[in-house]
Amino acid sequence: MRWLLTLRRDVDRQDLDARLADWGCRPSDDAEPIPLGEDEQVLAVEGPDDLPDRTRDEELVREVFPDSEMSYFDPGGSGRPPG
Amino acid sequence: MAKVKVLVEVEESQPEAFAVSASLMESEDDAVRHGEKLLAKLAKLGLEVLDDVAPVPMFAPEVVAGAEDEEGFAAFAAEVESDDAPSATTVVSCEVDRSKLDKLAAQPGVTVWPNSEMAFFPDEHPFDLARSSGGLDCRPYLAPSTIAQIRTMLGVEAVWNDGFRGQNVIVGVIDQGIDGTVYPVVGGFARAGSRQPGTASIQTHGSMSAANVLVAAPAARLYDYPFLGLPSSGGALQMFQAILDQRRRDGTPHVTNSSYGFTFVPPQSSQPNHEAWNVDHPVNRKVREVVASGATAFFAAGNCGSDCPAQGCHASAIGPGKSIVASNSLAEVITVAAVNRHHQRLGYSAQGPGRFAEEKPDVAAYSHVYANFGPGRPAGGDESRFDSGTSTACPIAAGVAALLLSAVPDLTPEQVRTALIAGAIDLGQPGWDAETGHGVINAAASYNLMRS
Repeated sequence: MRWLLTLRRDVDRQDLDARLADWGCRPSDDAEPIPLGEDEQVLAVEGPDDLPDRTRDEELVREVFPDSEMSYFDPGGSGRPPG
Repeated sequence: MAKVKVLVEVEESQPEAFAVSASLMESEDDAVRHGEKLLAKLAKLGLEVLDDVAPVPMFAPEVVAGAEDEEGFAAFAAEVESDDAPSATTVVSCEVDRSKLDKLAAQPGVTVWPNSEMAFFPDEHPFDLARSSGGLDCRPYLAPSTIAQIRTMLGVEAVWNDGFRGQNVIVGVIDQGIDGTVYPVVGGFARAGSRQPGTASIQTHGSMSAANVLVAAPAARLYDYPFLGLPSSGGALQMFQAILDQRRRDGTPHVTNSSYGFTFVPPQSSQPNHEAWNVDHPVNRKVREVVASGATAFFAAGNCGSDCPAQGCHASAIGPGKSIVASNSLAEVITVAAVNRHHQRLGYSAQGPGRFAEEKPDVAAYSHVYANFGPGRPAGGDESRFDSGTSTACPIAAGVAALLLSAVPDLTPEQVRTALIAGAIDLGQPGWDAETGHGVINAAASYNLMRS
């Protein structure tokens, strides 16, 4: 499952990679962290369904959010009449 | 023999021409008799006086202009009754054999004028066909509109006539990618190794969005932010970060368009941190950061309206209050529902209230248009192919915002929203409603209200 992890901005990347491996995760598509707000960053990862539980007590991770797939809002597909 | 209708002008000095004319208009018989008397000397030419028009007096130029210290017809501007006036000639409506026209025209003291048929100028504005009481368009849908019809409905010419066509405004399209050989892509973002801005096919959803932006703002330019595969939270997060960074560097894009979202919403109990439930999901926060930087963000309401939900809509996302639930329900963005040009809500257009801000959708805009798709359009196709969905309504609204921003460049996102709402054509019940928000956007009204 794909997840978005919010982390402190100052987290050490090597430490993070090691912890990700411990949790059974890896960055999605070699994604780089994306800054968020003043002191956070977001990392897209692929990992187990219970990743929120696995990281619940981790200081490194602030929160775990699903990275969900969406749809384009043309009801019939591009150029097709609404079905 | 073929007969033609003509107007025959003959000399007749009638001292009280207005009074005589008025009395002739009261009686068709008197009018015909008067005409026949005037044309008695021409009877041998077989003239037939018609009763469709009573003989009409004509006046000498000096009578019209007034001689010396007289005002002439300019005195008619006074609120008191003016004196009658003498005519110089009278025009009679007649029919005559075509073969005798030349002979008639050669008669001394006679002038023959064509009595041409005319058509009423069509005074039926497309607005006359669009009911402000609202209504619903469901399967089978009414015929799509042309770009010209949508431009008329939006009133874009009022803004264009003042020289504003969206120039100097850049719209960022977060989508499937745009064909930059057809549409004016001048930048954007893509990760290394993935599809670069402007390199997508003309058949993509992104090219459709591009076409729709240009409906109202044909001089706007575009940034292309193509998703890698299907749209996703992570992909949107990446694109909005790229937009934020671009704005940090040069203040562009000015407007963003997002015509994607959820057709399935997981239960809150199983995914409380899903972006449809947690307003602080990173992508929701990043969208807020982009709006805080001064970019106006448009989001499609979605296609899971209860009346004709699109195929693929899960029950969890269908109906009022269920499908405007993620970034498209943020208070900071402008959420767009879809109507046809008759001001009927398209039955799939998602209904509010929104999850994070209740008054969603904010406004409605037009959809079902031959813009990117359809006969003669860049992506081609027969009449069954057209631009549809709230996916089309949203960039049409974004294009109207681009148009307003080209006229008033310093508008904040909140001012854009205020302008669009102030100029919107409210449908149905007065005020905001969950189906079309504050109403259908109108560029002319918003523009004029901004200037007043």
